[in-house]
Amino acid sequence: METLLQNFGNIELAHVIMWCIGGLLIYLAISKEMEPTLLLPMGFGAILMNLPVPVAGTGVQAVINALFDIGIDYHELFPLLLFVGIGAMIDFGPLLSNPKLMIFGAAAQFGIFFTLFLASLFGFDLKDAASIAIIGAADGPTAIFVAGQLMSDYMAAIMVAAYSYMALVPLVQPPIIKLCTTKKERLIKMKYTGGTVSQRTKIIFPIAVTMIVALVAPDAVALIGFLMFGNLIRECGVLNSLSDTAQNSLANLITIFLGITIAARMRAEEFLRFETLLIMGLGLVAFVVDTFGGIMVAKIINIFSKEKINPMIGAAGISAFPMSARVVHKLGLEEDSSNFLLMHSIGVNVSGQIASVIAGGLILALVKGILGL
Amino acid sequence: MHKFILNIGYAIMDFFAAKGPQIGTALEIAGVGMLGIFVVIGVIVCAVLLLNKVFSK
Repeated sequence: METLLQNFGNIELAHVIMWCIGGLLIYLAISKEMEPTLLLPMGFGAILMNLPVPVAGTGVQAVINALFDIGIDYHELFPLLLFVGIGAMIDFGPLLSNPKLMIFGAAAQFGIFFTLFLASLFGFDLKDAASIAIIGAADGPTAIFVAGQLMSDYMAAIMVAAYSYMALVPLVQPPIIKLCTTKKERLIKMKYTGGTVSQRTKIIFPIAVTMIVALVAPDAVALIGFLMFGNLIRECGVLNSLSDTAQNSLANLITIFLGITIAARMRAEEFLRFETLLIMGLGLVAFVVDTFGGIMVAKIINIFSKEKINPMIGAAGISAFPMSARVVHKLGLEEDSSNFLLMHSIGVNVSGQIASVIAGGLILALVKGILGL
Repeated sequence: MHKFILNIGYAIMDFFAAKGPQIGTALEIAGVGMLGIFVVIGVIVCAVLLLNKVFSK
């Protein structure tokens, strides 16, 4: 009888708090449908990792730690494989028909660098500040990849923040967009002049982007390469079954493992720190400043351009695809039910995916160069 | 009151003096990073415009 009850003595208050946090993530995933593909496995994983065990790091903790070592610690395998699936899901057509929209994708990464500066002010060392800043990329795999490469001590908090805010885009962005734009600006109509993009362009694009990024930001090649590989599988037209597998089976399989694997860093002693709350706050700042950056560049372009751009599309430059594009389109329709911004905002949104990966690679290159990693 | 304001001022200066090098590094990364993104994106935009011109239907 004593053998059956002895593990009760290993329960600590910190464990109970983590069970509640895990339960909250599961509740948000199921009841509020906030990024359920990641938050539910993370929530359950957090519970698993904080169940009392006679010896820490054994049993289920050892299994999840092993998954973490293989999938994230050694070569960031899981986020890279997930990017193959994401690349296969993305249609770059609207962007290729109007490539100048990419400038908004670039502008909407401003929040990353602003947050890097802010995190440094708060006393985080450079590798952690950079890892926290990449929450602003609004891209889970990129955030995991960068935080893993920089061996950040706050990976779990960064992941929870990144995926939570990605799910909160429909709540976070609209007030900022309305604050940064006037009604007159929100009513600007944009003609969709995108023609048909040739199949050859769609095939050469992923190859060209990978090579261009490799020359400037070699640390981003793994991310951009796998993303563009997935896109090439989609666009080549002769690998429909592989494209289908990448978009569905592969993406789902890796997502299952990724969510529960992140929980390896959600042990109470690593997660329950004041810094976790600070990281949540900084993550929100990154999203807010991203949105602001995209809108401001659109407003600046409008000063010099005869053909006015609706500045709201700048907000779609964050990588949260397709939520951000839908938010902008919906806001446009709210102001004027005949104002269809979807094709423009989708183009900007997918450019944000590319820009966020480039931002991640540049941050890695610069920080590694300074720290000598 | 005058001394209080001065003390706050000195505290702020001490704070930034202590973190000065780190803030400077972060600012440098921020500046170079943003410039780098625009440069890379600019090159990609040019490449796409060229592709559209060459392969336009």
